[in-house]
Amino acid sequence: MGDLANTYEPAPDHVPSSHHSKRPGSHRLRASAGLVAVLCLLPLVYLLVRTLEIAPAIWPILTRPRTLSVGFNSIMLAATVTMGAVIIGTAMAWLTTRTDLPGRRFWAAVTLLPLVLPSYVGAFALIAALGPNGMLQSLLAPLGVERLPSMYGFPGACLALTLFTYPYVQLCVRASLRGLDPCAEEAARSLGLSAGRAFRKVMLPQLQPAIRAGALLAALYALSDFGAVSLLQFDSFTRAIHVQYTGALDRSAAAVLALMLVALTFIILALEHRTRGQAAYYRGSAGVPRAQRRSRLGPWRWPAAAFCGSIAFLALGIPLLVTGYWLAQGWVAGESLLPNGAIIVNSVTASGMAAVVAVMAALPVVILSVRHPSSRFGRAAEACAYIGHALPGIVVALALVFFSARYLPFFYQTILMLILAYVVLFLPMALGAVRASLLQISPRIEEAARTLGHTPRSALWHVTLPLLRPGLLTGMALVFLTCMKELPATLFLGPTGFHTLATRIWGATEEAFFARAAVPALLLVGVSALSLWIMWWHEEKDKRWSVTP
Amino acid sequence: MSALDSTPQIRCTNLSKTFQRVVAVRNVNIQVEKGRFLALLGPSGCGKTTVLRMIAGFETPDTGHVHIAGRCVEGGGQHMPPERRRIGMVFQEYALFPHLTVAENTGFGLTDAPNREARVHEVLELVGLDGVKDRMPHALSGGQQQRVALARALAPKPDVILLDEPFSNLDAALRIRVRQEVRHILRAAGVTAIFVTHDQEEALSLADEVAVMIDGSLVQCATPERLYRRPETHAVATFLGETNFLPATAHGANATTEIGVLELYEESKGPVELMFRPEDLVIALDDHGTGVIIEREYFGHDQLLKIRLDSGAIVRSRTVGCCRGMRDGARVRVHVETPVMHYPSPYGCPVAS
Repeated sequence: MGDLANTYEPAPDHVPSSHHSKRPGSHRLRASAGLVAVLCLLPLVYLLVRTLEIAPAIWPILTRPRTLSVGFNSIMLAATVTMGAVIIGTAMAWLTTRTDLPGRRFWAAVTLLPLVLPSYVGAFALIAALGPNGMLQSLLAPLGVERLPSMYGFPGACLALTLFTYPYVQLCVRASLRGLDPCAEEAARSLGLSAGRAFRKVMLPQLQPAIRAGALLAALYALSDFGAVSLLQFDSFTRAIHVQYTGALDRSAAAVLALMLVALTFIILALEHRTRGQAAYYRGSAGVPRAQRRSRLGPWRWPAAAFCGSIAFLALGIPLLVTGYWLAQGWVAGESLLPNGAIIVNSVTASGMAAVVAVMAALPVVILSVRHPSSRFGRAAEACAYIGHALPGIVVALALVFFSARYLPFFYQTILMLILAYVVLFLPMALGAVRASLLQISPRIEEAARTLGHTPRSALWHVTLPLLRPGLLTGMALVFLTCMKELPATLFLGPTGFHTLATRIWGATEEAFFARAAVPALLLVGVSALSLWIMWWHEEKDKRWSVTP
Repeated sequence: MSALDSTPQIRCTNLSKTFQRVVAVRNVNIQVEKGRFLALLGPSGCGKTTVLRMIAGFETPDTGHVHIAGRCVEGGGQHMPPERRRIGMVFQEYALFPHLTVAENTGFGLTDAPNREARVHEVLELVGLDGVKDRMPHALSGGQQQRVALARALAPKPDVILLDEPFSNLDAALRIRVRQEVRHILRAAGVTAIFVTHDQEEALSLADEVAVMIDGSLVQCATPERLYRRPETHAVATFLGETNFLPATAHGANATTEIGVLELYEESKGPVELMFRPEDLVIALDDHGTGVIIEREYFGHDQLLKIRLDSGAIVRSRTVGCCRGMRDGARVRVHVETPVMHYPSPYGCPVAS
């Protein structure tokens, strides 16, 4: 039906809809949305409260040399990774879309694939390949090489995170490059600028918003990543929080560090938000569909291909080779290749429950904000529900540990707190999927049910929910798959002896028991690929629906 | 009005509604007798859909009452939810349930009825869709979807049917046919109906009574003939069909204009403005006439002539059949033989007679 293909944005002005009525949503709807908002705010608010309680002790902790060095480390890491990701990502995007690079399409696909690697899987692979007792060393041992330079610490963390974040920049820049009007570049060339100067003077400014968006993603990733940083033993915030909490058992210091991390995240978000307004100035030419000229690389063709090849080898080849190698090694050694059944059951149970709860939590928030867009309460609840986007997993985990240990001792160290953490962290995915789906359903369809004698609840049950099913399923799938990969919250909040695929890889890599990590790593790469595919498919579908008249 | 003694099936009294300081509906009063059709006609944004949605219960009026079949459903602090009002509604975009078949759509309002299947069959037969009852809505044409929406609304035997721009989603060729079908179906079902439209032809041809809304106010409610012949204000006259206006001086039942003395529907005195339709203007070639043809549009079945009177005023005449010699520059005598409407003069000073 044609009209179903449209998106039902909040009603057009000449057709007043029920959102103007004096009662924006039933009390039950508002209460549920409010509860979800409160639960989402809980970690951050409790972390603040908890830190304020130890107010006099904050200053000494803040000024400790270690705190300062951790802060410095984090900022350096984020800056270096972002810079590296921007350079590699932009170059890669340009090479694969605007040049005569040999095998352009192949490289365009392959260089984006590292997106499917959870960071700790990548870190595991790098350690297993390049670390002490790694593959490289065993290859070089016959040649008399006893030691490789250490890859732990800053260089390793930088390398790993750059390799896993450049695809974000590449994706953003590629989309922008495709939409660029070639006229500007041609005009610059006709005005006497060389190709290189034209790129710097004309193209680069136009690409700035895209580069900035990719850089933001890379910076936030680098700041909040726990797996790679802690496996590679680099003391940034996330690892320091973990060490303070588990090793030193200094909870106050952990709380202060966590708050500092949140503050840093919010500062970066705010900076990006402030510069975004000016960046819009550059976005003049929205996709003029015209053939784009490809630059000739000339003698640089093969070096460029080698560059793509080496990045792809580092980011994708090594993880696959290492995993395959240890899989074979383990098999030869007669190790049990399959992770024990309990681990899979744990992963699936916790992720599955979180998926169902997240979608149920998303429903009232989405219904309130889509069907009653003028409700301030609904908008506020939605904003709170999206906070998981900005909070590093380790912060949410730590706050919930504190909270449950003090107020909910029954729930402390139970799977329920873990599920709560998952929901807070990944609710935005469920919100996005359900929201997109609800926007496709005309409010008139619900009104039709009302005129046919159905109460609001009956209309929701018989009409809205059946029509919302694709969105609910997509949301569930996304949350499920993302929870399967989650590491820090699982480590902090999982009950004693509760292991999942993610913690298994982490544990095995820490103990250099690489063969044990191989199968879980492969499984998680599959899970991750699946979730990316679902997101891509969902976006494509939305695009298709939004263009049909 | 057929049954003056019975209570009207729908009665709205003093309905008003303000959206964020914009007055959408101002003091609207409407009555519809049982079995009759009322068209709510007005330009887009005039508040007609809001009135319909207040009757349905999707909007809560700021003031006023709504009675349906003698029950008070709105007003005096009461707000009966839509599902208890016993109304059927046909939406502009039909709002069929895409996950249900035609039969399931039709039976959606009959959850507790014991003879649900029989009723679905009966209603689908009435709209002529019994053959497609197992299809999904997306497999139907626009006209068929429209009839499913109608069947679904009729199935629970509601007290009234509300239709929101029911034909605007159909292409022009289909619209006229579907309009006739809908009229037959509604008559056969014997229901009372209100439908909202911005299409004057649709309103005039379908409704027993037409209520014209402009800027949130109901300006006139009358039968289609009366509304067309005797619009009560200048605004209603221009909104409905083509018009000619001429300044005149009224003295009792007649008024003097530059094209002669015209009969008035209602007596008046002093300077007035007269309104008559192009088809009321009778013209004849006459070298001593008071007007000159300045433009001619030929439509085949009829033609529209633009005539400049000696005073400079321009009037239009629609004539049927062939009019030999009626070309640009020809001098004509013009006159109006039917009674005409008059409005307060906007010209200020009286016209010399």
